[in-house]
Amino acid sequence: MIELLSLTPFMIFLLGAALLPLIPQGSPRALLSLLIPVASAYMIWVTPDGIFGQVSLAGWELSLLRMDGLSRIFGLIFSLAAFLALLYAWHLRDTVQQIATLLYAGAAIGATFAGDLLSLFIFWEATAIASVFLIWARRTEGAYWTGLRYLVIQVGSGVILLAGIILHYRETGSLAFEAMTLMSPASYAIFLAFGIKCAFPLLHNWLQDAYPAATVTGTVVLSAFTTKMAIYALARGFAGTEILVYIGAVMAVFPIFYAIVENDLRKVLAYSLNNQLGYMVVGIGIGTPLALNGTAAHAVVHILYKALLFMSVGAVLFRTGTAKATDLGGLWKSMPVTAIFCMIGGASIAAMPLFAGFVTKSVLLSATIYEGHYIVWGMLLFAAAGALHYCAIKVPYYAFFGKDSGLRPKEAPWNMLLAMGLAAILCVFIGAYPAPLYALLPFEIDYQPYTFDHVLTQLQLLVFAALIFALDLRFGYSVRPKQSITIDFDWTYRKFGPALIKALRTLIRGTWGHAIAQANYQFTRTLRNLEGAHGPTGVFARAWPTGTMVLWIAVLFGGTLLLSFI
Amino acid sequence: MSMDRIIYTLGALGAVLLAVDFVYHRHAYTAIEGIPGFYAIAGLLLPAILLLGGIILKFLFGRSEDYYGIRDVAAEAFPADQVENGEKK
Repeated sequence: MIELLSLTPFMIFLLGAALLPLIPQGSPRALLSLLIPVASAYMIWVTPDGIFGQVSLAGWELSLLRMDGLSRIFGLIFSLAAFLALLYAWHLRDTVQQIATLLYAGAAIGATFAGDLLSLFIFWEATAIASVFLIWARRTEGAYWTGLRYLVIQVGSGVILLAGIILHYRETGSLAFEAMTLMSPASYAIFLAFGIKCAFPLLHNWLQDAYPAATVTGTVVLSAFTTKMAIYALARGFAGTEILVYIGAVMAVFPIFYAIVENDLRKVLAYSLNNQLGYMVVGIGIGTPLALNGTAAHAVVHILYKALLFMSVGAVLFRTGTAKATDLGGLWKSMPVTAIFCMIGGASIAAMPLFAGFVTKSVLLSATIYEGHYIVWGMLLFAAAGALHYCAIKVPYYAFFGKDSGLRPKEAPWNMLLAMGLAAILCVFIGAYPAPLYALLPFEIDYQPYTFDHVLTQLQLLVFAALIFALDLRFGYSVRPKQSITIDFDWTYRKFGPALIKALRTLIRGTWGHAIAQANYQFTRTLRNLEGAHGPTGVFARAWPTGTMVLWIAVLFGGTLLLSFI
Repeated sequence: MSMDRIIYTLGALGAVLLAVDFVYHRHAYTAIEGIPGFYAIAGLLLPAILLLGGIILKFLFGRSEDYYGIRDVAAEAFPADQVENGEKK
């Protein structure tokens, strides 16, 4: 047991990633990759609470395996997400993506169990570097640039984290990763680093930029880890920090406007991912045991239904070569099973009773109202009504129903269906019977989601919201998807910033060139004037007697004599 | 199922759910939430705000797909070698 504990789950992924290329491509390799998350989940399951895996690195004591309620539930759901994503990618014959997936999942799990800030930093950066290959694996010009932008921001988050850690170490003399208060530059830097990966408002654009650019399977992998690792880190480090309540509320609301107007369905899902993170951030900000339980539970089901939605849209992309609402429609005729799974994912995110989102979102909403955050509660309600539209209605409607695109692709391959089926079953199971999920939560929980009131109010909200959207679709007053994009805050660094630099460059170059030209002109003119006056043919030359030169030499000698005396 | 039938079904369902609010007293945490029909009104109002916001957003910030040029995936085709439409293999 002790030997087992000195290993930590991320090492299994590391080992797996090292062995994988040696196994022949195809089913044997896919099978091995599936065993890795299973082994990791087993290890997490059997490890008791405590701190294990202590190693000494350059004089620092690092602890690689801190097991408690919070890290256990995140470790388990990350393992499950890795399993589902690898099953979904069974057909894949791309070594780069296979290894990147394992390293990425392993790094996220490593960060979850990191007991000290230094190992957290190492895993934090490892997720950035491993995951970018899932974007580059698309192997197009656009994906290359998108990957670069993603990498700069992700690595930047790590650098800010490192700066915070160094300041924190100078302040406290400790590297332990414990709860912090937001007061010193150190804690602000760490908070900012977490906030970047958590896609706080205005720090969020990397997410909607990168996730739709990844490969079919890559997006499913990406959707699970980075942001939820940041949620975990925030819950560990900044639980009860009040500003998070407001950050989370803004985060829950503004992305849904983008989600309803975007055309690329994977981008719609990326915005909705951002909005769901808002709920979790609000929970962390409230910081009561009920709220933190809500955050952890919501992270679990969110990973499941979001993966399910990305998988179903990914299957459509895999079969048709497009994920744009304008190009799709009517696919239920040839992809009925995928359509059903997509709708289950949609029902889960919209928190329909009997689906997974309901039993976790209601915990968070209750925690918010218990603490008297009425405005925030109203914003979350708004976001809940929005979630119904952009995911539960928009994504299935435009992909599988709506106007017939004439596309009749084959149903998704068996491995994709199996992965989606497992996720869908879990969504329904957790929704109908939340007790096993509640038992895994970090704190004791005494909460009953299925009261008559909860079910009634949620159904009222959803039915009337659905009515509005149905009326809207019927009469077509609102935004129909168009072949367009909607610019977001990333415009500042993708268009405005470069344009500003270009303008400054032109200005500086112009000014400099002008200044040099002017100086040159003036200098030349002065020389020419001097030459004109004093040159061999100049006016003065004509008038000067030879004696002038002798006189000047005498003056020069006189000066030298004077200087040597002083 | 036609859109009209969906609308009538949702309308009928909504009416029933709303009716329940007037015969059953809910346990509310705030005064406003306890008003009968609060969630129904919220369900009607919030999506309307959302759709309006969407129209404004699209009007102000909608751009063509090639706005960011070749440095974005929006305008490029998904690589054909990563698509399997079941015709070959």
